[in-house]
Amino acid sequence: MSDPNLENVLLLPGYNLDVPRLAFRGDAPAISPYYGLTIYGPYELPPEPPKTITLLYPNDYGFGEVAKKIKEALEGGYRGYFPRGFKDIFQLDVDVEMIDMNSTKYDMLNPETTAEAFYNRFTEACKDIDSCFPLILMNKVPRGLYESLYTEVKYRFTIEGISSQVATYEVFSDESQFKWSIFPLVLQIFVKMGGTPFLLYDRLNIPEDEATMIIGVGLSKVPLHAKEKRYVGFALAFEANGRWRLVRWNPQPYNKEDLPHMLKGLVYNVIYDVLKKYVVGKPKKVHVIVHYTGKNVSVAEENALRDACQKIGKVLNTDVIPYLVKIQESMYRLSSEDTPCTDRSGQRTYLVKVGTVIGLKEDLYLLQTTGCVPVQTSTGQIMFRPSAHGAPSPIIVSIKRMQEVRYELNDIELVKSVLYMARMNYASINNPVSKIPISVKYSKELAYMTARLTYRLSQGGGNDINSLIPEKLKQVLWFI
Amino acid sequence: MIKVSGFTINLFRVKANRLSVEVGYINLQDNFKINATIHNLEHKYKCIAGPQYSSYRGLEPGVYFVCNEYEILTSDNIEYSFKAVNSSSYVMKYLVLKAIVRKVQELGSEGKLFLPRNWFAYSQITCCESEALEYSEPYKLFALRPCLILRVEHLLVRDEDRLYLLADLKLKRFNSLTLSNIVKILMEKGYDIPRVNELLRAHYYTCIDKENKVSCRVNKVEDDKVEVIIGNERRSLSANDVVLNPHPKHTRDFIEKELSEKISEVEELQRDLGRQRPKHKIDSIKNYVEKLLKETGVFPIRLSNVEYTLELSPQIIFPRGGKVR
Repeated sequence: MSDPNLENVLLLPGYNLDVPRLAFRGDAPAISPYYGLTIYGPYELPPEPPKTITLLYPNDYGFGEVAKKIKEALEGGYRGYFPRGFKDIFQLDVDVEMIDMNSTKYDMLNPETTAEAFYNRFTEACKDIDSCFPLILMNKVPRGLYESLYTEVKYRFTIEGISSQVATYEVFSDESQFKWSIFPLVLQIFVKMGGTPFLLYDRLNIPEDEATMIIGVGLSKVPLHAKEKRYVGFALAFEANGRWRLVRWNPQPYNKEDLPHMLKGLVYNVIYDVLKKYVVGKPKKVHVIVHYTGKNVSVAEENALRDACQKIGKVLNTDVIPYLVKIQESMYRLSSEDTPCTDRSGQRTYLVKVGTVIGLKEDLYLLQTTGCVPVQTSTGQIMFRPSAHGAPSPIIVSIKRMQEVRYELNDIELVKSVLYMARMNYASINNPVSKIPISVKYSKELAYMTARLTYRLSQGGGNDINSLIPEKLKQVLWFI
Repeated sequence: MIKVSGFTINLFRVKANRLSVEVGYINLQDNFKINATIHNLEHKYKCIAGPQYSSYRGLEPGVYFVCNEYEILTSDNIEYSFKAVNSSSYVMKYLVLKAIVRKVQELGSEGKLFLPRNWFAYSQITCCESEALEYSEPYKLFALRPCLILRVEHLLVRDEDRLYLLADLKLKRFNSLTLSNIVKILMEKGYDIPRVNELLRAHYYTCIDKENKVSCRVNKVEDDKVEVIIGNERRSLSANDVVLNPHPKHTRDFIEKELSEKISEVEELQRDLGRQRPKHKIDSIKNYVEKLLKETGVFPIRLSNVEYTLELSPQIIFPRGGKVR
């Protein structure tokens, strides 16, 4: 029996990972996106930026007032929350044009016709659609599979090869939300224009002559016909510095029993595309870190991933090593007496530092991605502050070791890959670490879009989902 | 005195009063057969059963179970044996969890606990206090209840098998926004049917259609029936099976203005309690674990020859530099 004094004590492996720095213009390092963007500017400008942000809104229900406030903020900034405006921060010569739409054509319960009306108004107002970026103001709606105005609007523009941004009336009509939301909105617009606001300055501990790729794999269950469930897989590829490279779907929906085969093909194609298109020279080794969430990966699916890597290794005559990392939200709560974070009133928060790792079991780790986080003030000083209300839960990171694979990266390096990808948070300025890493964060949004694309495919829209996304969109993170 | 602090975590020790437990065992290797056998033992023979999919710390793969009566298994020619296994071993986490499920279900049917829809799914139990913390006024369309979400976890501590209850606390808002309730209120307010139909049309609904929840639109109300549109199909459902989604802003405005239901007080309380910092959150979890699981008699739990008790102190993790694999 155990020592009674240690009844409530768990001695478990623990690690403190440093929150990695980000790289901005001129490869200047900074902790906070706010500091990096306002002091140095973005890492890379879009290769072909549009000339106009076309702000579309229904001409009723107070939308006009909100649209005007957004336009003014984009042009001139919004106090300290978004200083100096879009042109100055993102160094792009872009105008903002307000275009109203007849409100009789705006019906939240008829997403398809409303999305069509927005698109038509956009093409009327913008003669050269490649020179305009649509920013659409509408109501907040549940993001469902088929019934959502949000998904339908995104789909309508995407299918035409146009990246778009939605802003909701509910958020931007509320002053307390407006001030915190305006900079993140502009950040997302910049990313969807093809810009890179920042990348990771710090890297995983991997030799320079070896390449690393982080692949986020998602699976979407799509209802095609009455009661028939089929699957579509998609994969996002990132480089070790956080640079997004591509998204790829398996061409057609599959039955459940064909999942291993489908995953093998998908992962093979993604690795092949990234290595062929983006990796300069022949790396000594390629580490492929697969992040996934949701469904458990069966042994057959694990073997399929391993086989895909072995196959590509043979084709390219290099060593390709796969790693499987499952990421889940948890219901654990951790409290720390030693926190450097206090609330505005000076009260102790008991929040755990972001980057704290607890080895709960062999291969299973708790990683705190929200809590007490280092930020950089406008003078460059680094301090800790809470990044969440309440008592945020750590995420669970489990490392799946596949048979017959000779591993070179240890567990902590793989947990670090999750924290590093959580740093690539292009949806927020004030929260420097996202709860979920970018590699799997958009699985749900992509699943909705996948369902919509699959529906089009089933209506005779082609024979490969990948071909439904126009070529010019493939270089930008259009789905965030 | 040197103060060494660690991390407090919402894990509560589940302690067995004996080191080994007598359980039934069926040797199986195939995952599909293991799952099918568990289903059969639980549904046909009312046993509690757990899977062991591969060999782990001396446990062979197969199904481990506890029944009230074993004779019927023998008379039905089910081949099984008895085994004495570590009472805190990995497979026992499933059996302890399912024993908790049984007790919680009993207390739910007696009205001592409130069990929401899908209260037991994916190895997770949700059980709520029977008394609501607060109701919205005047129609009590919303109720705020403290709910515990529970899992049983197995950990190896200094090579010792241990079981823990992982408990979280959520303040859940339940609504009774069925169209039968809403139409009743609107009629009491003196609206005629054409106006009621007009007010109801511009919202999102969930329809319970042959026990499945699907999103739907409301076309018109006729007596206690509602004509709804599911996909492209028109259907007639009972007004009790059509539920308003209260989240969009215009629907919230409808609830506050047309139905005159005050929901902001319920929301504020929910928000305040949801903003508890970790130390206070874990204290609250501990209090509700005591109230909902100990005072109601969920614990102690008896499985075969072993009694499991729940320790009320949350665990404290002291991190040590780990060996990296």
